[in-house]
Amino acid sequence: MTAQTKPVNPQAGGIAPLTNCVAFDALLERVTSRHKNLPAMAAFCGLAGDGKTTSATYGANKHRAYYVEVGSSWTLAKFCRSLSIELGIPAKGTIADMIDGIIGSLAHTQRPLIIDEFDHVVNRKYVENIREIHDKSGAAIVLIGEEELPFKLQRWERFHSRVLDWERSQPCDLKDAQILAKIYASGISLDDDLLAQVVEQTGGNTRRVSVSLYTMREQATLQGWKKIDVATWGKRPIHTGALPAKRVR
Amino acid sequence: MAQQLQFATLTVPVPSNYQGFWDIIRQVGRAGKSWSILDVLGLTSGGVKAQSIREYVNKLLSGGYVTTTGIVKGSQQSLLYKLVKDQPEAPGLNRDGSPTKDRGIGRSQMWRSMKMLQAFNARELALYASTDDVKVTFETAQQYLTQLRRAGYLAEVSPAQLGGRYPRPATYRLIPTMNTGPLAPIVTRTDWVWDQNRRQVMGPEAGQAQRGAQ
Repeated sequence: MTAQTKPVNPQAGGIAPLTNCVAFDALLERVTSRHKNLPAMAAFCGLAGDGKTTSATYGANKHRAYYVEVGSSWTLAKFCRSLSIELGIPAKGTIADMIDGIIGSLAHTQRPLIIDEFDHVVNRKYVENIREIHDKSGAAIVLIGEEELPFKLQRWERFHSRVLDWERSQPCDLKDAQILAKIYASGISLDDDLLAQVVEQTGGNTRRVSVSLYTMREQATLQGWKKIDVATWGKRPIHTGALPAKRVR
Repeated sequence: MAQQLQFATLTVPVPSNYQGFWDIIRQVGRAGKSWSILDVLGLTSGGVKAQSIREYVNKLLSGGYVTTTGIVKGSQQSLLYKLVKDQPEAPGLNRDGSPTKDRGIGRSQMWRSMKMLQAFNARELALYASTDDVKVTFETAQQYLTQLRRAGYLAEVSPAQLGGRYPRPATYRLIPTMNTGPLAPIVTRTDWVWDQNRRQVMGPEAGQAQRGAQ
């Protein structure tokens, strides 16, 4: 019990140093402090596995943001209900009623709204309703989406033009891997060369790096290792996410 | 009948009066509508003094959360108010309108992070829920997770691994239907979990509270 209560990096201030945490926090800062006459939408886009949402927690907590993660099956009605619940207002009535309620609540808030998995909104084509909420409330809205989101949104010219700031999430680098090692492989010292190898073989996919580091910690537990370098790890696999051999042509 | 109803309200613990006032103010003040102290009083569950509401509204006024818009027709001194700054949590304010030291921020940050993270253990939650201003310790996260698990908010993804050289805390995820709203569940002094959004006791004690109410 005592071993886990002593992190390697005792409460060094959350996970602020991760590249994407800093980027998302800065994006929230820009969008919440913009000039009043400017639109207040921004987007954080990137490849799956960059750790966009995970990195967003830091900024979201700092700015006390509202957060909605859109489901792939969500209709506009479901979106409105979920957003109403997140805002703590009644999720009742017609869609128009709920949108009025949402606008009324957001118009008087100083907190930003984060809409995650925004691609689903685009696929289900209720982008214009989000624009209405934005325009009438003036609330700062940050979208999180996949790499292609900016291009997909070009079809909605009126929406696209309101996005003040497009920020790309960055793949995991060695510095990030060192931080992640403190979270997912706490108590074990991982050599930089090994971390660099993990970053390279996973293609900088934060999720896979995290899983790999976690696996290394498990192995260390089994083997009784205190530190791992390239030689110790040897030919053991790294979680690269590569397809099974059969399917590679 | 009346007695029973009163009993029902007594069996439900409400940890924060201000949250109750604030919820009503948000309700009567929706869509920029003006309201008076009496409007708020009319929606309280009884036993509340107008003076308590007035004191809180005065704090809100000093803190810039509400403004006055006029006087109730036909009255000499009943002011009308309007909500100008909205948020789900009741603002904790001193008499001069300055924010009180809010002990609930760490809890809010954990709750928000749980909604955002796919799966988490206490160590990860403590890290992701911490900001420069408000740190969440491993122990706090561990306690909160245990309580929320017991109250039915969390599903266990992988169990804790105790003992051994590298013990590992349990991994959880928030059950999607248990994302009840913006306000973080509160653990009361009696170890009950109070859902501020649904305004009810959750977990094994919920049944007790209901039985008591009948």
